[in-house]
Amino acid sequence: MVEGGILAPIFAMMMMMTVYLGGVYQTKYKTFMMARFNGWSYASLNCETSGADQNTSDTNAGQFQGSPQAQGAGAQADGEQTANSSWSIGHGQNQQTWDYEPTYRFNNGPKTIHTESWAMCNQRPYGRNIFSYMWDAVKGSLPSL
Amino acid sequence: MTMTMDSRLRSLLPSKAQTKASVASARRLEKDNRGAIMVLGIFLACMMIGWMWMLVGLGDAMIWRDRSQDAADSVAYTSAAVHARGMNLISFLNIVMLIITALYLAMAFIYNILDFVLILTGRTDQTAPFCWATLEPFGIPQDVCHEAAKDELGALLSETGIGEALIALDFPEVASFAEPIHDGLQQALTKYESFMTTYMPKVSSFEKLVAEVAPWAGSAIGALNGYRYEDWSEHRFGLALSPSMIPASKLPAPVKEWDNSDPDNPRPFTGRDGRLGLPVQTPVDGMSVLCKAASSVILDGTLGFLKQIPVIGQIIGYLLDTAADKMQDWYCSQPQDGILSAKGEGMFAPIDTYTADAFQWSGLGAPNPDHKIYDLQAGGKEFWDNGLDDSVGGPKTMVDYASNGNDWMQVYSIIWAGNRPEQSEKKVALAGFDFNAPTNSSGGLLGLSSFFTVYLAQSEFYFDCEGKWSADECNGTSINLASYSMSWRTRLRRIHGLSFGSDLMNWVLGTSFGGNSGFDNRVTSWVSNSSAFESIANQVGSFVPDAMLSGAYGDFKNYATDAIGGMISPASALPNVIH
Repeated sequence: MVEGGILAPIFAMMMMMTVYLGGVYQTKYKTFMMARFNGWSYASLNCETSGADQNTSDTNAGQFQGSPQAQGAGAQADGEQTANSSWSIGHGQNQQTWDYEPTYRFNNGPKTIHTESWAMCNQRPYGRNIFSYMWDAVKGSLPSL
Repeated sequence: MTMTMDSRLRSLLPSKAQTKASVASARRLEKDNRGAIMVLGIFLACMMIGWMWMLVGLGDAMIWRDRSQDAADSVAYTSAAVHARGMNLISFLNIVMLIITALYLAMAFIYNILDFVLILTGRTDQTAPFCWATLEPFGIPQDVCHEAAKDELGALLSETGIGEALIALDFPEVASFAEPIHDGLQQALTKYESFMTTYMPKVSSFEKLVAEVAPWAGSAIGALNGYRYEDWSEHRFGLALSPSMIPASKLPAPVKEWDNSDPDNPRPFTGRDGRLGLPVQTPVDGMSVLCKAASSVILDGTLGFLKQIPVIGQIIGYLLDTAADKMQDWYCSQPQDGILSAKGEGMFAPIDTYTADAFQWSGLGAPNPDHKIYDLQAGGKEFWDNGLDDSVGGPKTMVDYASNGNDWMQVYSIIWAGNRPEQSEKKVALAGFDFNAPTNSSGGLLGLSSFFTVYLAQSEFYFDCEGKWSADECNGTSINLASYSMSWRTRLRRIHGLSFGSDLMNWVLGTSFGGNSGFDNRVTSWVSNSSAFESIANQVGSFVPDAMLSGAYGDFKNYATDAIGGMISPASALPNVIH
């Protein structure tokens, strides 16, 4: 009983730390993948639209799949993603918060992870439409407001 | 005495009661399992700490490596995108010059038609140039034509009744309408030609600048993007390289001489190697190329639909192509000063010397001696056919050895990613009790694996078209379509080597390269003949320079062989430090 009383909290704490660390890296990798998706899809389409645009403006308040939320441990990851460009450099970013209550005592609350990605905007084919080309060149040269 | 000894020994032995108690205690200890879980728990706790440590190491390594590869991709992609933007900008400027030239041709063409109207109606005193331009292709000398024209044209119109017919058709009214337009167009053309000859060479110079600077700008912007990839407060340092960074004039030999990747089937080389950086060059024909392209555009745009007529369409197509060539000959590519040049004024003759009688049909009174025909200023070889003169230049068109997907469209990037992976791998190795894992500098290139942890990526810029490079919708037309369309884009590729990579390395290491002595020989020669090294040799003997040549430089060569050769010829084994 005594050993159990001593070891159980230690193991519980280590399990929580393992879950926390797993969640942190999962969230980190998730933000990396999403930032890359946002940045590259945006840059590939001349920094006009991207796959991320469909949910770019949203702030994903829900939990992302695979989080320990399903385990009922009070964990969740909130995220938001954006893509924009300045001086024709596409910039994708993603931010997720890994919110795992059991380790609050050790890590001062939710862990927010932010990852960014950059690539030059890939111009769309203009053919011989010089007016469209010039307009986009002017737009792309201006820093985003 | 014996009794005494026995009693003493007996006193040292445990009593029966004590023995019974000890046995009971041992039995209790044997049966007592309290604390056993603690031992096991401590062992498992240590294991879990190791697993967590490994988790951290794995997480760090995975993210660092993937992020580093993303950074390498970004550097290559960004640089290639700048290359593509350079090509698009050049295409845009080519189109602008094409439009300027097309407007010039259209105005000149209308002006010449009005010339013809004025000649028919006797409102000008100049006919010879028209006659000469018509008959010159048949080899009729200019002066003969001139004489024939001045005597015969008016007579022909009178005798055949065409003159009277024109009057009956109210042609004098047409002439009165055409005359101010003709004169206004003449003034506009004069200013327009001045504009053309002033600014089109400047545009050409700017294109050249773009072709030279874009690859280097791409490398710089790519490096900036790579530097932005920061994790754990560490940056990546990237470099983008492309064959476009070195203009053909700076290469050790013309491309045709060292692009011998397939000795049995060497790549044909038909033109001069004037590549400016990006795979474009100024054609020898200079601005005339624009003229030909504009002629085709004008004629196809106005009469091209006639080509759709069955059977006859082919004939019409041939005639239109011929007409385009003739427009170029007439307006943009004169064998001498040209009919469009003011220098040809000597061929013009006053009307009163020959047409007073001949033009009796006109009924329009005396011709206006101020009307000048074919008096355009921009003609002549100085402007149109002078692509080799940098002060004139011309549009920038694709070099004939560059095409989608080949070496000249490739951009490579290399990222130095610090030693973060090694730190991570140490954690993984430690947790896995793999103490022999190559997590330090014991392995790898020159024993500096952590320093030379690099990531590679490749990207290319390409002309976005449906067909093959030689197809009409791509770059197969006579006007080099890829140079007049802003459809240049970029994409990532799997890494592959340069086709001339082995030749390049051979040259670096001392063998001949297109008839040029190797880089190695040049360095050796430079060091041997250097005044600085000679001074050293005079003071300390020739040992030091020799040692440097055979030592440091030799090591450098070996390193270059392994590192650079491995990078640009990935078919061979990549150094294990390259991820």
